[in-house]
Amino acid sequence: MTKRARYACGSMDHALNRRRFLGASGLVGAAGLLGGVASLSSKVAGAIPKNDYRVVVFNMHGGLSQLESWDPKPSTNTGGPFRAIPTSVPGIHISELLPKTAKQMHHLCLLRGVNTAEDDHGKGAYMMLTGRRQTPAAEYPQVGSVAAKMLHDDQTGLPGHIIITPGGGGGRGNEAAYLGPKFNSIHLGGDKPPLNSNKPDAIADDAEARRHLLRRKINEQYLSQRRSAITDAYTHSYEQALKLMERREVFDVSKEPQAAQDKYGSSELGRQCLVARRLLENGVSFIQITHSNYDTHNDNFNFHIEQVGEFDLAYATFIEDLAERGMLEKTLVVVLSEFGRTPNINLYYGRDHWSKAWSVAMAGAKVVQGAAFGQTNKEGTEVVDGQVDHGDIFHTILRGVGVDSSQSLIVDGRELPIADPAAEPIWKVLV
Amino acid sequence: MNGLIPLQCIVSALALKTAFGCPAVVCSSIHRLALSVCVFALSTLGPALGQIEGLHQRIDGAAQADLPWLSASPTEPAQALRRLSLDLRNTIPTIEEIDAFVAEPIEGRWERWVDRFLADPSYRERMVDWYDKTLLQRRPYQNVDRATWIAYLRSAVDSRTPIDALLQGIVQSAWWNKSARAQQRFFLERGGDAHALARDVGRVFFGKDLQCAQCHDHPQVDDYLQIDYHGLLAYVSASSLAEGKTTDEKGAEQKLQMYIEKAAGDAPFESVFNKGVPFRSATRGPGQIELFEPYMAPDQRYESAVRDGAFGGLPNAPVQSRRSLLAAQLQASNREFSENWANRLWALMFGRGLIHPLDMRHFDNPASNPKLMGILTDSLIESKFDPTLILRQIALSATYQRGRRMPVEAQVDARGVLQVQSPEAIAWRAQLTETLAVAKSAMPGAESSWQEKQSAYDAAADAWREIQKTRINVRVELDAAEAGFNDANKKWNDALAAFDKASAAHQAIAKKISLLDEAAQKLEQAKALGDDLEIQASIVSTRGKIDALKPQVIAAEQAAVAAATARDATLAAKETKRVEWKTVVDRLTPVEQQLQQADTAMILAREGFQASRRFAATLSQRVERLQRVATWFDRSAEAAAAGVQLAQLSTQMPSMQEALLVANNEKAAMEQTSVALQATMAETNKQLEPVTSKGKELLSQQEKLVAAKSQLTDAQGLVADAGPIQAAIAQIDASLTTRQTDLLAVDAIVKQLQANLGEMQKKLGENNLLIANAQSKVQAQQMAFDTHKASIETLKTQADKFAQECAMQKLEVDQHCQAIFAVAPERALSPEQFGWSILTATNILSSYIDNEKAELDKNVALAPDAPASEQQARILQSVRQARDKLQGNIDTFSSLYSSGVGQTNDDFFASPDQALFVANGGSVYGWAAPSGSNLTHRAIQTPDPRTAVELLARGLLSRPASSSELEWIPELIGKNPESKSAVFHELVWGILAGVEFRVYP
Repeated sequence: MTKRARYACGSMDHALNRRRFLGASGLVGAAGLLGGVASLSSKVAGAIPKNDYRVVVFNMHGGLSQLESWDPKPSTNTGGPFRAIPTSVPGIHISELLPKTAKQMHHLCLLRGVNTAEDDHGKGAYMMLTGRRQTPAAEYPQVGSVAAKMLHDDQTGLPGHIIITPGGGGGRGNEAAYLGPKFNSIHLGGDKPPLNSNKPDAIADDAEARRHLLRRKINEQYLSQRRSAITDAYTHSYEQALKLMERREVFDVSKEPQAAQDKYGSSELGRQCLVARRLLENGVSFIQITHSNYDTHNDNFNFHIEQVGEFDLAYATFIEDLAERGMLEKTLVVVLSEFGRTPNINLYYGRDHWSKAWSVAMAGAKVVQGAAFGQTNKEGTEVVDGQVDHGDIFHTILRGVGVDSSQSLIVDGRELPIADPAAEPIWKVLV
Repeated sequence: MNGLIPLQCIVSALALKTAFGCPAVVCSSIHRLALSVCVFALSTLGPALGQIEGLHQRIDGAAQADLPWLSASPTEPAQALRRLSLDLRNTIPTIEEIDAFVAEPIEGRWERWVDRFLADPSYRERMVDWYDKTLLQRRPYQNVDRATWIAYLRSAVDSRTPIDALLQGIVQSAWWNKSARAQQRFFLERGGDAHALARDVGRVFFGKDLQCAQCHDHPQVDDYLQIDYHGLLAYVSASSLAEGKTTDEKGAEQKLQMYIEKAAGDAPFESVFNKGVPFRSATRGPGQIELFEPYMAPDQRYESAVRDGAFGGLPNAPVQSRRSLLAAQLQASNREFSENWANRLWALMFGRGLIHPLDMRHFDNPASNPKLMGILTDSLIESKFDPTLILRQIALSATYQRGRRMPVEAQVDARGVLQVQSPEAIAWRAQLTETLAVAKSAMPGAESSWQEKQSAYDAAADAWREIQKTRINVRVELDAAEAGFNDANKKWNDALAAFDKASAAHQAIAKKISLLDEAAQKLEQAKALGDDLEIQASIVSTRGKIDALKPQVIAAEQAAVAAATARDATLAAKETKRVEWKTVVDRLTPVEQQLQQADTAMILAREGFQASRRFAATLSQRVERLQRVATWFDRSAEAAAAGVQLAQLSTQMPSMQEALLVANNEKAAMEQTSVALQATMAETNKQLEPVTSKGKELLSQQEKLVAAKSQLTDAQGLVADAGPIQAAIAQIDASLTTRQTDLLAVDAIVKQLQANLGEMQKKLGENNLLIANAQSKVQAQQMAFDTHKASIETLKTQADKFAQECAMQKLEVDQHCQAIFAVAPERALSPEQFGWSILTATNILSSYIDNEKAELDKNVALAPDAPASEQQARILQSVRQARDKLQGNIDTFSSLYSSGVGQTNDDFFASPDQALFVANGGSVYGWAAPSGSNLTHRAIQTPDPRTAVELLARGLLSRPASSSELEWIPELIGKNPESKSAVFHELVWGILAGVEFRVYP
């Protein structure tokens, strides 16, 4: 007779579950009030020890061509016009469009066997950023929200999850899913500081001080009667805001010495990389920089000369700068896209969407340096060694910054693995 | 307030209000109030009120806490009004409303204000907002624009559409034409995806999130089964998005995504944990048996006629609609549906459901008060799903007006420790112990009962599964038969087309012949009128053509006949297949009847299991709650005991310290004695020294004298005159005698001193012994003292720990009390409530309404004697236009403060970007600036700062100013008289940005 399903993984769940529902009707707050306000505003129970690792993701929007970057195939039918050049790691060659990056190869780890089997922009991007395939009945948090949740220290006064988009208009993203809106991204438009982080000119300094004093005085009376997790979190958010205003110049690249600004170049991407470095120095746990647009169905090669060239300077400078400052040991820098581009060159000298055999680059933190993992065949049409997918990469990013990617979070009585349990870290590229 | 007021009284009270022009009675001078609150009388309170009228009393009866000392007394009235206004109107009351409310006689006041708020246009907007958030969960407007959707909800609220009717309308929306575009939004914005919709149909309509039961029974919730999920999926699996063509107002072609429905066919599914055992499910409403619809042959499943106003390019409607079946579940007959919506209405008023979270209704998460849940569900059904009637009754209940503070807190100190020794607490503890014992004693029985029921259910489920296997096999055959039929049907359709083609070809030739023949005849007639060679030639030519065509027409006719034969043959083949198909259906029918019987038995057994498990869970929750209270008492007792012990130990401290001091002093005194003795000895030794040396001197003189005498004696014989020598000898002798005497004296002194010294040495030795004793005594005392001190420290730590645990237990007990609504749940304003409240507090909303009304009046003035209904409609329109214009501001609040798309509740969270918006975004600070007749302006204009502070406290926080506020604020203004305006502006901003404004009273 078939009994109600009891799963191999589920016996423990079951034991937990009744208790959890009997006891968990919103009782998370109690521990929180006594434990301070840091963990109060999330629906997620359980404290997670923080470490001081950080993550930077370069999102090469539209789909960077692996053949014009990390996995060139010169002198083949599919290789296109560009040469491969030697790098600072003997034996590893990359596209001649990345001459500066080539000199930083000893910091990098290339994943050349990526196969995600998804050629749609939206779905591919979703997979790369959440580590899972999209399903209609579930939402998963993006890597930035997970990193902010696991790594960020509220005391920095800065948000933990920042997305820098060219010309982006501020505001907040919606990537946190069940982790709660606290871990949604703050969007930075270009190299501008967060929205509303500047005191309006109309308010004089003394008026500014006085109105916050008045606010605090009024709160004081209320809090002396009624204090709870909610009231603490709310009043704390205003103090956090003030702290962020004080630290506003963290976002301002003009505070950097001219030499540093020159080094990163005059492109918007260069300035964004410089902002990113400043933010990393000041404790922001996750930064995503978007470089757009690589969707080169037409005229792939000219586009890549221009785009990859801009990327090369900014990225190589960024890696070198982090390494020189000793920050690369604690910072994982990932360069990813939603997919790669077809080995086949179409009629318009373009390359189309291609997810079967493409590349991702990582550098820093606990990822091995100066390595190329995985391999595609001669014309780059298939992975022949070291095949990995979005799920493996997601695990690897988390492991790469010291987060146990096999753990689960308890949210509203549901146990949710932070990364897809069907995938696992690429152990061979982890130190 | 007497809850048994008959219906007529309510109606007449409302009529009375209308007659007096409503709020004018109370504060006729205040235009604003008249404008925003003027009566939208609940023109009809609904027909069959019956029990509904007394519902609020039954709510209070059921919500009576088992421990009255945990159940809060009513909150302060003006604060209660703030709560009511937030719940019913999504915004705080205005200062005019607060003043009017406070000024009114208490008798019947609350009920009058509940009705006044329910009659306010803002109540309708609140309901629109509630429906919007509940149904669409903040999904962006992608397929239907905001105006269309809101207009639809507004009209539903205006016409007091019952909840069930509204939802049925949505589910059965006439997708084939544009008229039901708004209703379609529920499906369209979810992308029409069957799994997304199965999940949200479960969550929104039935309060069950079955997401995790898609691929297997829910791993964590025993009550959610895979068959439940697939039963829901069957309602929507035949529906999807399709593009329909129509024309817009200007006649241009328009393509729209429509959520269409096709004829259903259920795919098999299996559990990923139990592969190889397939199931199929037709629709199964929550808690219901699977519903088998009559099997229809594939060629009969769609309506033949195109519906009126249909879009181009879309299939006709299916004859059997799964959506109609779903609509049939959305009514009183489905208890799960009714309970879910009763729970949602409760949550609207309390910020949390009797069952919470709202979409986790299952037997291990039962209602915190099942009796109350039952009453509320029955009443919702009785009200015919009229939300207003239910909300009104909830609002009238004393339970709704409860405060935040547990009475027990009067006996709790600042650390959260209960004063367990107080007479009250002793009585409470006794009551608690008894209640807990009774509750606990029921637990084993409840546990074994559900286990028994579970076995019965498992047996029934096994029986059902057995028949399901047979059914699955026959269904597979049916699939094959259907494929066969479809194949034959296709052949028939092909043959039909071939015949049509052949027949048309034959007819074309025949027609041609007939026309040529006609022409030839006409030519013959013309020829008869006069011979003509050319005509003759034409006749010959025409006839020739006819002759030439004859073989062709024969061939075409034969082809047509052949095609007809083939057609008839395929039709016969198709009908044979139909019969075969029908045979399988006929075999399936009894199996499915059997299955339904087993299903009925299974569901019945499941209901029993669910009820007993729910009962056990309820009991267990109650025991846990009582246990928490007991633990609070225990920890408090321990904290108190530790306190007493601590006090005791502490009182011993001074005497111990004293004893230690005494011992130390004694020891010190003895040491002093030794020191004195030693000093005296040293002194004596010092005295001894000259005496001794004098003695030595005397001895040496004596020796010298003896030596001299001996020499003199020897020398007597040597000299002539021994006289002088003898004289000298005599002198020496005399000297010797003197010396001897002196020596004896000295010796006596030395002896004396030495004796003294010996005496002292002895004393010193004795004293040293005493000192050693005293030393060990001191050490012992010190040790005792240190131990004592250490135990005080330990005890202090322990007491602190107990106190901390008490604070924790107090929080836990408070949470439990919130869950059973013994105290008002702590809640923050929703993003919309926060936004509208700021706009109300700063007068922005009312000045917008004024503007809109003035604009409308300017365009079409209302006659002074215009009927009340027209005036009401004008105000309603003004309010709606004003709100539409301000909606963009509210959207900003929503984007910053809401939990985002797809969430059931807006869980509170606070983040710096919210604070940055309030501080620096410009809007809030700008609205707080003095302007028109807003509160900031009025406060600045008020000469006495204390009066101004009172004004702001009432207007912004719905309460009197506190004594400290009346002190420090005027003081601050007194210090900065020149910046009075600025300070009031900043103060108003500070209050709006403050925590009290952000949370419910």
